[in-house]
Amino acid sequence: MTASFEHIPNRGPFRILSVEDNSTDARLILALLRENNPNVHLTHLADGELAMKALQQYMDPLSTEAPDLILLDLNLPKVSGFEILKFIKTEPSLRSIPTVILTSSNHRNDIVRCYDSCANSYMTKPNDYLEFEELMRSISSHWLVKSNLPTRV
Amino acid sequence: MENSCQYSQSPEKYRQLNEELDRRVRDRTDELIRANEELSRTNRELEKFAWIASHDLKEPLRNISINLSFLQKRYGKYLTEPLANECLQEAFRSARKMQDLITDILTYAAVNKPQENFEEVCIVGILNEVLDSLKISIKEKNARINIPAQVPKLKVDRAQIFQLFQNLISNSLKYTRGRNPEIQIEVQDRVNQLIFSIRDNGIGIKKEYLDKIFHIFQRLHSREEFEGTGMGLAICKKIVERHRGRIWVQSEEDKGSVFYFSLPKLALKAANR
Repeated sequence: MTASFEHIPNRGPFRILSVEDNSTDARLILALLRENNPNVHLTHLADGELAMKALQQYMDPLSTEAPDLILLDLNLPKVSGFEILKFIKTEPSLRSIPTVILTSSNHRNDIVRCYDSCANSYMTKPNDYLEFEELMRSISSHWLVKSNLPTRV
Repeated sequence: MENSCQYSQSPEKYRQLNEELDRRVRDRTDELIRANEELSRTNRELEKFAWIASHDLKEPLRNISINLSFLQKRYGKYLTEPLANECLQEAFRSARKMQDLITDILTYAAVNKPQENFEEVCIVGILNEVLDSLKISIKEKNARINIPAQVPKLKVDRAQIFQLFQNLISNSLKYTRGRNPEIQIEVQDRVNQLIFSIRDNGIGIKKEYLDKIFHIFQRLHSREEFEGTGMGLAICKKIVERHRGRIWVQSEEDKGSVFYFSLPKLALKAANR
């Protein structure tokens, strides 16, 4: 394979934070991301409050746990995905972390609101398993392979 | 008889009785209005309930389907007993049926949602889109379908009229028992309304079922013979009624059916309020 551009390959392991309250989706995200890239360390948190606590820990400059990529659901118990997104993107030590919104909502307002808050990508969860597989493949290839990540330069 | 004798005997009594009658008519009318209001309130609540219930069923159903697919794709190879695979297939089929049912209930409940989306549309254009959406089954069944070359413009809810034609035409394609479907769609231009007809050469409908077919969840055949939720024609009826029209059918068993519906040319605004 020859590339006409200079691509700095990302070296794993990749730390991915998945904030997701639907346990089916959480299980799929984990299994499929691992399948695409065995070098993935996934932290899964099932509610917004736990996510906020974890993010506060990542703000510590001594922390080595900060994720390379965040997959964020919107409809979460306790603290919503919108609030978490806003927190990430207004916090200097967190805002460079690529944050992908992964939600069942495809409402126009939600999409606009997330990009307004500087989401890096907005994706709607497919209802079909094979499409879900395809989506996880593209997230993995886009963020872990093809993109240069801020945490890896 | 007794009463009429009294009238002639006493004008005062006559006046009193007249007033009494007036009062009763007023009371009864009020009662009717109240009952009517109560009925439409209950109806609205029922629609809302159906919508919320179906909507909330969507997520768990999606999880069931996705887990089944995951199970099959990842661990299907371990299900070596034929019965295990049969169970999995049956679970898939049931999940799909439930999905169809939920979609139809949501559609049914959403027909009367107050939206100002009546627009002037080209019905021939809608018909062509419907045929395009059904092209796979048209080809499979080797069907011949004629549509009118021209239809006067109408102000309607575009998506609903699409659904109306799609439901009626796909019924004509579906209920055939092996015959190649021949479907004739025509329109009659009347003074205040257009009357559309969809004529097919399908299996027809038994007389005793003719007035039942527009009810919700009404199925005349087993699911093994014809797939379906039993909601299609109920949705059609609701759509036509929202447009202040009427829908009816003429049919004889084994001799095909003609579905008619009318759409008024004017006064559609009123239906939208």
